[in-house]
Amino acid sequence: MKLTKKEALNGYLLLAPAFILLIFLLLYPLFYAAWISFYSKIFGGPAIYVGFKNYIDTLIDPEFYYSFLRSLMYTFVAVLFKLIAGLFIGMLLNREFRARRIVRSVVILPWVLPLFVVAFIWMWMYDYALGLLNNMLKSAGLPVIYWLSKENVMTSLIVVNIWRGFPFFTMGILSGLQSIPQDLLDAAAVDGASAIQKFRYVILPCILPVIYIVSLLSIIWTFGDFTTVWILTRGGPGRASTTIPIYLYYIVYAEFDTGKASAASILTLPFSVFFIYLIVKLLRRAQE
Amino acid sequence: MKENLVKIIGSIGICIAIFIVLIVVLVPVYWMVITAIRPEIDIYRRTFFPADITLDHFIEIFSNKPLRQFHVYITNSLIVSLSVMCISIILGSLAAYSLVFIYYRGKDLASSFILFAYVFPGFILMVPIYMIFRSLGLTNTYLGLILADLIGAVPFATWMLRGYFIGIPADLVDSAKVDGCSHLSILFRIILPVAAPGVVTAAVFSFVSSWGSLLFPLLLIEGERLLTLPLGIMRFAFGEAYHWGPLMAAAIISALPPTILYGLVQKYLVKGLLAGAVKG
Repeated sequence: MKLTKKEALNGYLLLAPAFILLIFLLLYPLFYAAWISFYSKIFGGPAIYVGFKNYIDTLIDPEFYYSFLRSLMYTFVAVLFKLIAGLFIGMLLNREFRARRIVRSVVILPWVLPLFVVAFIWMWMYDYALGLLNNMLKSAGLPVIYWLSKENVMTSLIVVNIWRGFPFFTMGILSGLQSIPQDLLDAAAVDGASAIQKFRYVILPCILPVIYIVSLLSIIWTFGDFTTVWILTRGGPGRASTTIPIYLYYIVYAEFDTGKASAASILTLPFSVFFIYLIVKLLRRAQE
Repeated sequence: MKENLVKIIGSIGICIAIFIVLIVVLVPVYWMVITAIRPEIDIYRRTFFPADITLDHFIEIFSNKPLRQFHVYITNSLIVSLSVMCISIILGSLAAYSLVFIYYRGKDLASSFILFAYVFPGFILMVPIYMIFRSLGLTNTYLGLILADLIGAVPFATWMLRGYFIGIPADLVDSAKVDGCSHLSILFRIILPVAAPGVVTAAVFSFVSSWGSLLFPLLLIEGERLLTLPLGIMRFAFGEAYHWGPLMAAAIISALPPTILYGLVQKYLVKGLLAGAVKG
């Protein structure tokens, strides 16, 4: 196909609506945040240039580090367990058995439910007086647990995230498993490979690309998860479950400090951008 | 003989494992459903199986009393989510068509930018979006809510449709071009019908992403009039002592549209889920 000018113009024209929208709603706000991070600005008031003050304020705020560490813990523990559950259940569902289709449909259910619905269900599951989990402990004669107490809250939130997110890994890994050529598995069987060898040398290399991509996407999404935490705890009790998105929300709404909130957003950017870069590289390669 | 025994024990083990997985998935869902359809008194009795069944909690949430105006929340959510769905499919299919079937410079960069926008975490934009939308008078408007949800939905729809369009033979487009068809007529008459399952799947994903969005509506809405479902339920849940029955009834109603829609596109779900990362 020739590279004609008119043709190129058509290409740009069709691309334009989506791009104009994204420039206005994504790039411009991003630069706006970078700009405002050097200013002190209260809603409605004038912007006063303060240099790096907002960055210094953020960097000497211990809550920023605590929130970041909580976010890292939330993200990596949840993703690790989602990956393990996804691998295990994916292999399980890859076998032939009766009612396999129904079981598969049921297993994606947590992921199909809207995140806020999942959060409300678990708020009810975790309820101290009437929730199902403490009901079961009581009937088993065990002491009840404050699921959302200072000590337990992060674990409880991670459990919700795993419950909601593991089907994404399961379905991804399952589709990876199903794309493994049968002759490859037969050849391994003929060569007398043990189950572990078969997994290590045949199955794992085939599903590794899928594992990478679902893990990376999940890292980005879990790190940015506002809904689960907000509905279940609003970052509490105290600040025991304040992750980065909640931390930012509070700076805007409790301290009305948009300059500092922007500086803090910009400071978390490198983390996100690193994983976005990996995703873009991987997905672009997969599609070429 | 011994091998048979191992096989039988193995399949029993697998049955048990599948059973455990099903229990873990279904018990919380069961707990939601059972709470929504049992009388209040049974909620306090804390039994696992229902004695009586009632629709009182569903009637309650639609009773139009303060904080129980679910018909309003549902209408708001539908207006926003359907608009987001339509706009992202239109803009997404135009952009995806351009990225796949037209040849020009800078296409790789444009594709990468779309992907970047798709995975970009929305919470980072919390501050600037709030400030910009406020100064433009977009807070407390449908338009503001729709625009905020489009930030994720448009690049996602574009990327997904691009994945589907790539599978369409370029000859189809080239021969139509030779026949003198314009790009728009090729897109609407040839490409979209051929990629129909992909278009429907992308539409479902866009709808559902907007249906579940919490952060931006939380930033942009004040007052009662424009509350979407998650916000309406939150006000209701945190406004007073917990009323678990109506709360779970509301949760079921919120869960229905996504569940039904995903059910319709289940065959294409996985491919959409991975946004073209794996083939098949």
